[in-house]
Amino acid sequence: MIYLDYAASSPVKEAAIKILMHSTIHDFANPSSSHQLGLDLMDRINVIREKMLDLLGIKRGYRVIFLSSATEANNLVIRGLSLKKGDHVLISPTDHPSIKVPSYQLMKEGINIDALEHTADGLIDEKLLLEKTFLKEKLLALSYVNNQSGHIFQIDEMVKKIKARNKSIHIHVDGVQAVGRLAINMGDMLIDSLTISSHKLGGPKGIAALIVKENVDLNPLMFGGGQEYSLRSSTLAPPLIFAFFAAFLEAMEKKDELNLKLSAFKDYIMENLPTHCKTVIFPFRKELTSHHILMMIFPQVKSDILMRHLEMKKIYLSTSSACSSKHNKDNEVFTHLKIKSEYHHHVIRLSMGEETTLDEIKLFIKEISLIHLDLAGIGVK
Amino acid sequence: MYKLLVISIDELWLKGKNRPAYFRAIKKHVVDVLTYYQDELILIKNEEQRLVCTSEKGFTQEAIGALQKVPGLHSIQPSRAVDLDLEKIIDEVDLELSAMQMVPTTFKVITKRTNKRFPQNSMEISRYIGHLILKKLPKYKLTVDVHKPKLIVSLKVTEQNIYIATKTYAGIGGQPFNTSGHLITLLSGGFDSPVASFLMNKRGCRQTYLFFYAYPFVGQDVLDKILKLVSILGQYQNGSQLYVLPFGEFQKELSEHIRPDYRTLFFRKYMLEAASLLKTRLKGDAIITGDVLSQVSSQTIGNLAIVDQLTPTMVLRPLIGFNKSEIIEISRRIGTHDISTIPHDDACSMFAPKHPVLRPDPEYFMSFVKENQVKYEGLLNQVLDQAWIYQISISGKINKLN
Repeated sequence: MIYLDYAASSPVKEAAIKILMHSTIHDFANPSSSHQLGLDLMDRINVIREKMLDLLGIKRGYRVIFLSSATEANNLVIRGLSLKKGDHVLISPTDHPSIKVPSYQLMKEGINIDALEHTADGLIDEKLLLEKTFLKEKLLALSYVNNQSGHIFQIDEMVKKIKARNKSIHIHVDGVQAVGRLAINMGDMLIDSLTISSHKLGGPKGIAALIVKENVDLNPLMFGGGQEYSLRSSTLAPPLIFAFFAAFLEAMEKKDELNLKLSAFKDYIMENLPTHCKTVIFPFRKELTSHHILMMIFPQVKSDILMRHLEMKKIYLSTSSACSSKHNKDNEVFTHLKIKSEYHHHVIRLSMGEETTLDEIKLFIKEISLIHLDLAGIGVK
Repeated sequence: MYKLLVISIDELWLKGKNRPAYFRAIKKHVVDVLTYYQDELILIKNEEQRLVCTSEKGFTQEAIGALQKVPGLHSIQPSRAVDLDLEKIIDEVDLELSAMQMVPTTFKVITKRTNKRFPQNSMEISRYIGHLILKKLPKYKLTVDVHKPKLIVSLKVTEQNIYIATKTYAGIGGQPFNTSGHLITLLSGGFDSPVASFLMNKRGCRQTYLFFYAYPFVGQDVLDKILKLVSILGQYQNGSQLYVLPFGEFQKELSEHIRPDYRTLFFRKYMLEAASLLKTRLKGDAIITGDVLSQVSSQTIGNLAIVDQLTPTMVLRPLIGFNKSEIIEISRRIGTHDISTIPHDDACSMFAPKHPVLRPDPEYFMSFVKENQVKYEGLLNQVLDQAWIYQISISGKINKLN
């Protein structure tokens, strides 16, 4: 099997599995219990919170909230900020549904949702972004790395410029595709909240973290026992938290090494695939995107057909089009990334990770070239 | 709930000597339906070309709905029974009316008398009971309307009983299941083939469904759609099977060897050939397709004719003269409409050229088929060997067998 869909989910790291198993057996107590078993567990979880903040370069002023998924974290911020009728929220139409859909919900309550625009390169138009950041703007919610195209949002400089114009704006960053891949130093960044997912880093599913400034006033989505500073009532899951942290730690430590490797693989594909598969298009420049995601367009063959042929060879990657090419609607994300409408059913997303090898990349190039040659030859529409 | 159902049989009057065989077939289907839907032993007796079913618990609406899909039934009437005494009828009518949420304003009595020794004839009975309803049940404020009554009080006078009913559920009619041969039904995800299948169910044909699954050119969503369709169609049969043939590789192989404008035509030819081979394997009788004359370019008279010349099995095309609107109308009635509207990928249109051939050159077509007979028959047999087989129960539940 060749797995090239890391942006969707990653294989679980060995260190995480070991801790998950051990902790599931031994750490069965409720961390909110007031007896020693519970208190000890809560202490260990609190240590992990500190270490996570430390690894993200945060010295003070933020807290870590554990919850079930990145979607929940994004919802907690977007829905929890108690925005009022007439307020403005800025998002990108190219973003993940866990940012777009809760924002569209707000629209029904009279909150204005403003859409960021993208340049021909697929980047966020920063000039327009700054123009739009006026005082009514209460929230900017954005992915650090776009999950479809891999575009990196240059947070560092932008956030400073935005905050200089509008101090009260809440800047929420979805770091799901960025943490463990890009150098993130939250200490310098002035952002108000950050979402991190466990399973994209090689941790178990069902656990994620929201890093949020202490002084941010959020309304919880759920009510109950008042865990996680009353922001997320639910019994904490120590085994998931510990395994998540193990994966996070390893990802942070091996980030540079991984980046070097994936950058070389990306070069290799961009150099070699076009010699076998002449019509392939890489719509975005390498330096604009994260090394682990590579978007490709195959104008002659529909992406879902290509994907299923690869799947027969046990090669797994993603298409982003609707499940059936009979749905001839344009893809909103692609439209805003400035991908021509005629290519929307021809886009493939390849994403790599820790366990990807050069041999796999070579085999992928060979197989997709053969399949493509075959299919383009028959003229399948 | 009613404890008695009186089921009338359709078209039994057409039958001569083989009437008992038809009656047995239909009774078996009714027994199987009621055994599934009624969690108890149902007593079924033949009464002069009717089936009278008795339940201790009372018949559910679900069971009645399922009976409405049994081929060969004319109608199902939830009934009350009294002895052969007209005076006893009125109390039962009172019970019937009092159970209604809204009693209609006008009525008419219709009597069918199979017991010719009963002193009054049908007309006299109807008139007398109508009179009694007006006189004894004035509380319902009913008036008689013999032309367009809102309520029909139906009486059946048989050797032992009089049956009273105010509701009639129409059956689909036609011939009993499994009395008109075993057919191979070609299904696609569209409107036509499920309707074609239904029409032949009415004619008493047992059917095995056949789907050509062009994976990896089409995705799993098409197969899901087919499974939903057979789950509905299967309820018009008493147990059936679906064969799913892996066809993507075959279509690709074929496309590499034929003229592009002939692709759709050759796909048709070999789909029918595969159906013929399956028919032989299952000892079936014929093939059903949802073809409609001139609906699409592959359904021109020329294309249908040339393919038929090379198909060794009879192909039934019950929709050949139907308009699309008529087909859609039936699909709504039988419950396949909402599934057929779901968009799906179709491998044939994926491979289809811009301008498919309308008047095929018989020489090219025939000679290709003849020259490659052994090769493609071999390939199709391989495809059949790899088929996935699904069992569909009387209630439409699906079970993968291999």
